[in-house]
Amino acid sequence: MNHLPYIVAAYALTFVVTASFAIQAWLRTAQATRRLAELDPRVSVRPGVAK
Amino acid sequence: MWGAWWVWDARMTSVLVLFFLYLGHIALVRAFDDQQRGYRAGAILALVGVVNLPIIKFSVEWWNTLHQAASITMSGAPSMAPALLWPLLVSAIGFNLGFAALVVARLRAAVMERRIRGLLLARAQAELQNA
Repeated sequence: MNHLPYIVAAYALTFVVTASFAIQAWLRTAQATRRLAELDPRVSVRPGVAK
Repeated sequence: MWGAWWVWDARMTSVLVLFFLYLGHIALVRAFDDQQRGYRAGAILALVGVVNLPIIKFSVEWWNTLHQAASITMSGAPSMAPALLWPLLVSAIGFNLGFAALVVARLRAAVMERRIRGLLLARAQAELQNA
């Protein structure tokens, strides 16, 4: 019995779901960063930079 | 069990129940207009769902179905070959670190979105008072 399709599908599904979560988090942070900068320019909101 | 994509084995079935609990939790939290009520309902479901965790853990000992007993235990040496054990441990550590990074990233976005809502509310209140 050939298990390769099952193994490939399992790896692909894991990669797609994990990558979509990571991209979603990155997009949300980028959007919130822009919005915060518009609302309050005094606030340092660059990702990865402490205030 | 190995060689079949699905059997109604005790371990697999209890993990399937956990999967449905996760889906139910996500749906329940989003089902309320009032976020706080959604979070509370989700928390209650999570407390109920915790009962499933020991069932998953001990399912391989309580029911003699197809899944083998635990290969790694606190009391004895692992029954797995080192060629499988080390990749499993490295993968588990990597997966958990990746999970933690995702949680931190999502938390960061959620905190910023909350701050935006607060600023917008403060701005709207100030405009109302000035009007």
